[in-house]
Amino acid sequence: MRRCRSAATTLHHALNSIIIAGGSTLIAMIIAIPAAWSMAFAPTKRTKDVLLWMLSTKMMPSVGVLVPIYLIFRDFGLLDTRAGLVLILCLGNLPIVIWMLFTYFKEIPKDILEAARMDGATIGRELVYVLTPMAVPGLASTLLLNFILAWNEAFWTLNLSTLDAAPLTTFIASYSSPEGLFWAKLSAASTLAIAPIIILGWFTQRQLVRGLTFGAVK
Amino acid sequence: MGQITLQGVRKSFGPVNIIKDANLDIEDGSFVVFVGPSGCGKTTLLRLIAGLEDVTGGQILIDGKNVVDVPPAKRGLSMVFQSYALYPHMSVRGNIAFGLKMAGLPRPDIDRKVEAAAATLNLTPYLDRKPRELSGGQRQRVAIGRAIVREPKAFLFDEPLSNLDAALRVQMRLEVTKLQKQLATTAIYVTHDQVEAMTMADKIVVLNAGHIEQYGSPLELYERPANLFVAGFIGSPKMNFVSGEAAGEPGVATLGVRPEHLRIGKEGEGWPGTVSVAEHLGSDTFLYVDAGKLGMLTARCIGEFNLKAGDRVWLSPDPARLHRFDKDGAVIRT
Repeated sequence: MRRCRSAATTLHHALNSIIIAGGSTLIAMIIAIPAAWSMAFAPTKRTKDVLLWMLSTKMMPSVGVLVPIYLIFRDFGLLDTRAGLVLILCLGNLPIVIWMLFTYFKEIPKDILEAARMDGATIGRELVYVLTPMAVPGLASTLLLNFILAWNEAFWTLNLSTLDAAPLTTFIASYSSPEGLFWAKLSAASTLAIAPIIILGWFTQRQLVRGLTFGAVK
Repeated sequence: MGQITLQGVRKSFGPVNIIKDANLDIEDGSFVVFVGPSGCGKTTLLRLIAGLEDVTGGQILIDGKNVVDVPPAKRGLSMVFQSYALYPHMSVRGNIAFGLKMAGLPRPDIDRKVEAAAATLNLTPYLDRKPRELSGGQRQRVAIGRAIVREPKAFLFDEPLSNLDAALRVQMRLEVTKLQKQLATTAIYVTHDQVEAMTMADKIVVLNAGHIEQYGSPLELYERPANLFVAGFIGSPKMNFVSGEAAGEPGVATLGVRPEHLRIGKEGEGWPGTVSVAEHLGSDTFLYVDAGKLGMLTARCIGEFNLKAGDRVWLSPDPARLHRFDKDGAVIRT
């Protein structure tokens, strides 16, 4: 009976992990793609400043804003909710995602887009036949990295969730309790937590490496 | 048809005038080369014709129709880029076929045209490879294939050979010239290499600081340069310039004589000087001569001359081949 309960609990947290990591990644990508796109292909005088400002938000230690964020979450009823964690992880990773995508889009040589235009492609067709296929490796590796970051995130999940919305990271941490350190359970839960990432990484490694080393034909 | 006319074309980026009032008439089927030093605006002029940049003023006519408001896709031109700009995710076949696909041609027609273009360029064995699996020369050929397959009104080449090694460049130069003659399509070719310009062009446009210095056939430019800039730019080694005063021609600010028109004469005949360097190429000998108040002169002598540094020589210019320029650098026609 206890074993069943334990398995059900683990599943519950694993599901939370999937929803939180997946959800925050998805939303971050939806926001980041157009943002990075416009900054890479239609930069303005302020583009550099905006990018730097985004990055600067990552320079502050998270703990510095823990109290205000906690209070905001409490007031909005977001404590220990999946929606709250999706929101905070999405916002936390957004600067990195935008930066990554920006550099990928920037690397797509302008010549190729111009060649497509000379070949008679309209903006829409240029997007479908030339830009998107060239951007896919970059998109894939950004997606994967963002998912891994969100999956492993422990600071916000530990502080803003207890049970209902707690992902695997919080669950694993709970084995280190005032009653003692449960090494066996902790190891088992950790293995379980990293397994999906390893599998995902294994299957996408080609895509990932291609994304990281992607360059145009010189 | 592919007659291209520029009328008062201007282009500025902010306060900087890149092209100042360009007027040009390019005949159908001719091979025109834009040549000039870096930053002279030759690539910008090509991009204006392509439609990749908007003109600041003036008109561009293709077959008599003003196209300044027509997007590049609708101008019926095709372009070969310096970087090749191949689509890296498509096979050679996909690259060549892309333009036809965009034009909505039926599949069998596309296949037939792609095969024909590939055969012309010796690319048939590589049709299913990706660009990254090809050598530089092959990639360049794919880029050319992509341009010819659409049967455009004109080809625009933007320094297409500058990324290739010297031997391949000579070979591709011949191939491009042959191909253009065979297709009889107007071609505009941008280069900074005057050898390419001289060998490939029917007509050369010499550009300097956004201004067309002279437009004419290669030999016209060589034999009758309109000004000092063209005289100095066309020809290798460079034309010798001496002050008219020193050469005994008052009223002429600068006297120009090509190295090949300087003859080694008998003692006491012509300009005296001392050989500072002699380059023996077998077929020719280049002599760099210190001619005192005339400055340094280069002489190109056919065959082998047994001269070495320090030898005293007398150089006499061919009087029929002297170029005289006034103080503004414009040629003085007599």
